[in-house]
Amino acid sequence: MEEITQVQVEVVVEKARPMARVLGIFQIIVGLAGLGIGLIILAPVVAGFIAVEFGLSALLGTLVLNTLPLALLGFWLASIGRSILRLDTAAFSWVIYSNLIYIGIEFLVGGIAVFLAIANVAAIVMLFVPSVRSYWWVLFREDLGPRMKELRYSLYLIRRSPLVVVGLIIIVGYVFIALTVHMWAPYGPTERIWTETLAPPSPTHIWGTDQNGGDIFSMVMWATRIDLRIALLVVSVSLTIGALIGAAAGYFGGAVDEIVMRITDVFFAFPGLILAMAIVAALGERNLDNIAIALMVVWWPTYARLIRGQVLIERERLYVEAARSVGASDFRILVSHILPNTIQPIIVQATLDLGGVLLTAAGLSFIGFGAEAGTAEWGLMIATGQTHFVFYWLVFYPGMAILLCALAFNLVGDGVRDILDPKLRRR
Amino acid sequence: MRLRDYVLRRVFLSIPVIIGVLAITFVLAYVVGNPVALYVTERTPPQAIPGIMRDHGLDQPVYIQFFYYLRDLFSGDWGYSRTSRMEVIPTIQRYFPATIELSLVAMVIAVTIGIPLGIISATKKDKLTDHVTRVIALAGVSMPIFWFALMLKYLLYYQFFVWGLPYLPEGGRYSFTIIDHTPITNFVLIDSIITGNIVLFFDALIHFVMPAMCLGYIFLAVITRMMRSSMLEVLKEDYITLARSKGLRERVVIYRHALRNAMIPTVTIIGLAFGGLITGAVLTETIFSWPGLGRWAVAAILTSDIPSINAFTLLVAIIFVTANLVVDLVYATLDPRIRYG
Repeated sequence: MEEITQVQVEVVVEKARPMARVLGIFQIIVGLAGLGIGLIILAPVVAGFIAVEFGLSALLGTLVLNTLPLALLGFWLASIGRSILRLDTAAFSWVIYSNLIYIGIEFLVGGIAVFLAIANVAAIVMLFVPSVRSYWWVLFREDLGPRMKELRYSLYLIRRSPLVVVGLIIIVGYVFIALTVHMWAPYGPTERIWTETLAPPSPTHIWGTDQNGGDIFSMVMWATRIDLRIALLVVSVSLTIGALIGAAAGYFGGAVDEIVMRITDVFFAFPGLILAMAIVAALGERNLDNIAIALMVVWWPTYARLIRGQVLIERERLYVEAARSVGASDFRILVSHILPNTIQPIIVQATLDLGGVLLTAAGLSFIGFGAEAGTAEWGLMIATGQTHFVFYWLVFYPGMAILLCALAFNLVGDGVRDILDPKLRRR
Repeated sequence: MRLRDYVLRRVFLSIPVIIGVLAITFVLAYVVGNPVALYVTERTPPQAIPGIMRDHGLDQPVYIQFFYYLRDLFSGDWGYSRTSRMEVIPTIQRYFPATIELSLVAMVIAVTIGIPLGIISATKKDKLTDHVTRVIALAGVSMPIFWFALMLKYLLYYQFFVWGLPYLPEGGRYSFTIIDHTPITNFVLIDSIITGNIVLFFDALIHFVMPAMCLGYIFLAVITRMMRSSMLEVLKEDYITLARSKGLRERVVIYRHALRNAMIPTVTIIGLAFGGLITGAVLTETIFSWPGLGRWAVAAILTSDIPSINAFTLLVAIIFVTANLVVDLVYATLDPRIRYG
């Protein structure tokens, strides 16, 4: 029975072999073409946009949207094609059908890519061909010039205020630790050395070990991932929700505004930690996701209020009137005209809130809501260290980690607020 | 708008807020959670559950349950707290004074230190004093209060000894060796003065030091920052320049002219920070085993004691709303411009 199937398979494979070969070669060609197009577009885009020192967002957009996926897809297809040529037995499996789909996608994306490539070439021509450039460059400078000047002035002020620089360095350090901790941490986040419990700081465990023999240094380092992730998640989600609701309330006014503001009033009637406690208690399960959900519920009204206030101010400005008079839709006015002008206080608030969320989340997990015991998380580490209190290193180092991180966010937020504040800004 | 109209409008506006607060606590306690779990133990037979639900009105539609909830609240039936093993209202009466006393002492510490610090920091802007003050204040804002409390406790209770005894007591409101204490108002300091129990008074005062220091420090940071920035803003005004150019002494300019106007935002912050104080009290009380509302609430949450959590949340929200209301009214009397806004 088995022999028959074996033979049958071989026959099928024999029949499929030329087809697979053609397909494989074809795929390699398409893939290499994609890779080539991707890289060809990528290189001048990077060079061009870095050279003129503006439009980082344009660079990122181009990179993410077209060239990088194209190059990756091309690479991937080429390698699949190679594997088909080498391993004929796989040729008649799902790989072929899925490859057909990939090729279709490749052509589709390729079409878009050609279009984008033309656009990019046009952009490059506009940037580097002197006669073309001189025409639109003047217009562009006039249009964007003041903004760039403001930005450059802000950067100058930031460089000049030492506290902001210190804060930024600390934040970059934390992010760096969070991203690379798996490469250099001496122990894993849940690794325990049962023979060395409650060891004081020493060369082998520079910050000592906890009651189960976990290396405090490694755990504190690993915890940056969890804690920063929660802070970022909570702030970004509540910022998005708050921005949408607040902007709608401010722009449309009337009943919408009234209802939204009364709702935020209710949320402001609770101190943040208390409401978060009640929400986590109601949700029942104790884990980090529930902490994040509770904090999002607690935090969005802040942004809704802030953005509503800003929109109320901006709504009456002349440029909004101008946009409306040329027939722009409400959505367009709100999203592309008003919101960009309200961004500065929001950035400041978000930076400050990153620290606040971090502290509140740590507080919640200190009370006992955090992840299950043994997770490397600052609040939880302090909570467990509390029971073995005479060994100060259990509590001291995680607390310092929280303190430094929150301090850095506060420093940056405070400094940037002073820098962006038009009242305090010198000309 | 006259002051009376403003007061009326402001009081009127806080009614929907209170209704919203009631709705949120109701939703959290009885809709998101599982209310049947309150009345069920491991030994309850499953077939008895529908009967229990019927008895407590849990099979009714949500809005009728909300009505029941309001009825119970207003008739004084706030439920039974498993954590304190008694009804919720007597529990609150018992624990509330401890929290309020702690918060008030912390507030007194913070205000008496914070406001002068803020003034000094503003008048000596960009000098060393200013930088030190700013760092102290910023550290206070970004410090996890429970960590600060634990570190204080470690230093002053485990590390420093005087004649073989810890420098400061570990926690609680007074030493357990004091047995001749009869609570009258449940405010220990006031009680001890009323009964003339001088030993208890000083004992209680010493027990206050660490918790009040922790709580006060966080609050102090907020006040100092607010005072500094509002003072800086005021010092840039024209009338300050005028006062200076009249040849008034700097002391008079600052304390007579600037301070009064700079106090207005600070007063607001003092009121609003009351919420922060209660939040801080929750964490501080757990660490210093202070028999207050915060410790009770944390214990209740850890055992999923819904009536207690609900009562605590509701109480805190009502206090907070009231504090905001009072602040707004004080603000309006201090600054007549508000009423025209």
